[in-house]
Amino acid sequence: MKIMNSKAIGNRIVDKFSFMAFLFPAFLILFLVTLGPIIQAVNFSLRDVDLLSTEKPFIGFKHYINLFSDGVFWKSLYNTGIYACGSVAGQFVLAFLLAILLNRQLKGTIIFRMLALVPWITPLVVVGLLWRWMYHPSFGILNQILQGLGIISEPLGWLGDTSLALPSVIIADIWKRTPLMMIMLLAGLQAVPTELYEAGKIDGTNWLQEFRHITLPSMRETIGVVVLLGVIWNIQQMVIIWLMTKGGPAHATQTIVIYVYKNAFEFFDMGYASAVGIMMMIISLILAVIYLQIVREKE
Amino acid sequence: MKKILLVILIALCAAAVFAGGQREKSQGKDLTSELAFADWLSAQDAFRPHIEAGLDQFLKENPQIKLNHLSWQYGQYLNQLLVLAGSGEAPDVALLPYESVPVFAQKNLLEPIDEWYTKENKGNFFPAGLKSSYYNGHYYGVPFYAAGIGLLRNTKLMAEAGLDPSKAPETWDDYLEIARKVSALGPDIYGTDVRYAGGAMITYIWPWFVQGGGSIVDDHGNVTIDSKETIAVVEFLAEMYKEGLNVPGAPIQREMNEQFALGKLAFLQQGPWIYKVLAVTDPDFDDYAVSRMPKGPVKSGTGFHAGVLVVFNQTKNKEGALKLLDYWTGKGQDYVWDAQNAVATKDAWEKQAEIHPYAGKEGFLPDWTSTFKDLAEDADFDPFIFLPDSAKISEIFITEVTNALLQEKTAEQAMKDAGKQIRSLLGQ
Repeated sequence: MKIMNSKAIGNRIVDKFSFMAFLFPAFLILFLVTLGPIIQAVNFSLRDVDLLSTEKPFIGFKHYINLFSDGVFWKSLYNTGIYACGSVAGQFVLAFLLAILLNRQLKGTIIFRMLALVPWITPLVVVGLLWRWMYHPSFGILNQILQGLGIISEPLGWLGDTSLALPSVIIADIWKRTPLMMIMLLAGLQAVPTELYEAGKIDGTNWLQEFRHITLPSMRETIGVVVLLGVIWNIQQMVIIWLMTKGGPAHATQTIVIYVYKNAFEFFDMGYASAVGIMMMIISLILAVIYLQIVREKE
Repeated sequence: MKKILLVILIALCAAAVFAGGQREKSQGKDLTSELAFADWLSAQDAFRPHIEAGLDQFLKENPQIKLNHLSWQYGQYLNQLLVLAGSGEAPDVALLPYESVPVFAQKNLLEPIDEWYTKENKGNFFPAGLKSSYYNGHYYGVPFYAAGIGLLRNTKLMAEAGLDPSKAPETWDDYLEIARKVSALGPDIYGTDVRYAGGAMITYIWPWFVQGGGSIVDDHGNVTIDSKETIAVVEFLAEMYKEGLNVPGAPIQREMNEQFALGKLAFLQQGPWIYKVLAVTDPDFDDYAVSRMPKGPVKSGTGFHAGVLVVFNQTKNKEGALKLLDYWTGKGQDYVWDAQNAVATKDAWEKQAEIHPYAGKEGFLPDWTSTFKDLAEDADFDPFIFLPDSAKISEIFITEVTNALLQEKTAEQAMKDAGKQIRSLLGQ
């Protein structure tokens, strides 16, 4: 049995504590910026809290119960689903097509790749204002083009019509986010072994069979990850919608995030906003678990 | 090495704690000569020089005061104030939109300033201005500017439509006739500006409700949004929308102003602050005229808008704060006029009507200032702003009126739905 002298024991204790001391700031920051707000939100969701109230009476699950009879919450949830799924579907189709095109060794591919990234590097605020202007009933380019082509006779109020507003916002979002999805899919495409395509060619496959039986199966996990991440990001999207419609008209584009913001900072009902936020977090969490599952399967 | 790093880390932590303590101590200095003032107007280039010139003049007259001027864009202004108040750092004096005064008073953030009002100075404010500053038995604010919503018409478009441009509409029927004829001039020419995006809608749609006898709640807080008068007003507005007389979509306030300034809109309901926007495209004002709103089936009258100065109860310099109120409602009104083309007191309105009776070059719209002065006397607003959850009530109102305008619901159904939601909110 090895007996350590007191100096060695002292060094070991110092080692242990210095290790903890160096980790402590990181843990503290992590707690303050991530876990702390979540705990506070859960706490607020169980209390009657406004932005400045000193008294925060405990009301249990009242906010959560009220959510079930709140028509605006369900409308916002529905809009969130349509927005996230619609946008991700549009992004995916466009991004996959672009990725396939850019995966080929053609002339000018690098320039095209750079150009395709322009929407992604454009700040969200600029995107929101840009599209709001393009949709403007009188001065917007969209109405002018459609009128010029004779498709519409009178200008359309794209963002002011309950049936047009949500699709209009989704289109703007697709424009913004497609490049990122394209890059991720392109990375996936480039990872597909070329031997598979060569083998396919020997077997006489055409491009459709190649896509269906080689590309798609090889990209299954990548597609899963990309789509799920897209949905999670879109659920949390606020800037574009806020700048373009502020959730209107008549809640037609109001998503859960907008509803949280309005409750917290326009109606000053922090307790209810927290309850809505927690519901949103649960939904995102379920999607995140699925995402992690896919990643684990891929590994 | 690790030991040395550990010692350095502990020393840094101790230094940080010590530095915090020093800061606390430095804050203990005499604050009675310091004053913080917040507004949203100064965040805009067009208004900033005038507000700053006004504050400079105040500081010249009160050299003992050290002023901290805060300003944020309107979109984030109220939240910034609330955040500051939440951390005990609220400004001494702040400008609030009139409808937010009760909200801040309900949150116990404002200092009652009953002692500031005297019989004489009270009579110098318009009724709606005083009403908007009074909550739960106390005065919490002093109007900074206050005006009624007037009706601007594009005389050029009226002449093109074969109408007499000098004749303002006197009734709703007159208004409708002009709107229809101007709208028929082209697919991108419109008659009315009924619908705005967001909260501006309630300000600019409200004159119709006043004239039609419509309301959200009565003076006792009983919900009246589904009364037959309110439904009739919404039906009238929805009919205009259905006919395509309104600008499509839901323009924000700036976009609606632009439509009018670019000659695409027959009527614009606005306050006198629209002056600077219109002057950009037509400095002579020879394409515009201003009048009172047409008389409705129930009564005449118009909507109201005001900026109100309030004193936060966290102030350590109430004396200085009240001095600033004295200044802004006295000499400072000249600077308020320069910024807003609207003032708060009757004296100031009369003075400005004498100095600047016209809009644009002298003689073009000689009745501009006097029209808005008279409108300020007549203006009114709905008492729902005094109720708890007024922001939610406003949202319900805007949503359901929008549903009616866009023909998603009938006016009756929309107002009944609104009534049900507001009653549920208020526990009625």
